[in-house]
Amino acid sequence: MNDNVEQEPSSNKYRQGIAVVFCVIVLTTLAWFWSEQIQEVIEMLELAYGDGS
Amino acid sequence: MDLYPFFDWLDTSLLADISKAYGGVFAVVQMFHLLGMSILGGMVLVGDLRLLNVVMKDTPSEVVIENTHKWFGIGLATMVVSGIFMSSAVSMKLYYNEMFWAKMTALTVGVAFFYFVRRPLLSNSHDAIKPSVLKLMAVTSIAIWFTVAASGRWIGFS
Repeated sequence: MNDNVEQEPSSNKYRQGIAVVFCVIVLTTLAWFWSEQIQEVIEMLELAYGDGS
Repeated sequence: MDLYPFFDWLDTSLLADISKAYGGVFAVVQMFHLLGMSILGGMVLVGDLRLLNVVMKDTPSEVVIENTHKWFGIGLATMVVSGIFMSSAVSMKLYYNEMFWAKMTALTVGVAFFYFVRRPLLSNSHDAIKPSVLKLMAVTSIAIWFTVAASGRWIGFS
């Protein structure tokens, strides 16, 4: 593996670009999804046991 | 697209009759579901951890990835077929379950990512791919399949 991207075929560069865009969108969506789920669990725990104060 | 008619049909299908009436059959199919999940999860972890340079560093990543592709397909097919049977037992409950749809969405994204993004790109020499892109794909892949597994388990508690 190396960082020399000058000799890459254009199709390979295109695929890498698609992969990066796809990965960023998916990771952002998953981060939002799991933060929502964790927030929901925290709210349920606070309802059940109080906020700890 | 409303899939209610499909779930309604599944609820009264022969599959549902069998899965509801014969606990032993359900248990055996569930075992295959877990087996498929293990195969798929194993292939994902081996391939992605190799791309992250965590495991099997002595073996070229092209070789590791190539060898995981076939078994990924077998694991996926096993999971889908057994999953349809299992869902027939509680299809209407699943239709109204938020986590079930989260799992199905993550599964669809995971399959699309594997066959339309990851596999075409990794079929080339990995030397021609930026290391940062390889690592980003590995992290994304692990995150997607973790979500599939975790939301699948969450169905039982929601």
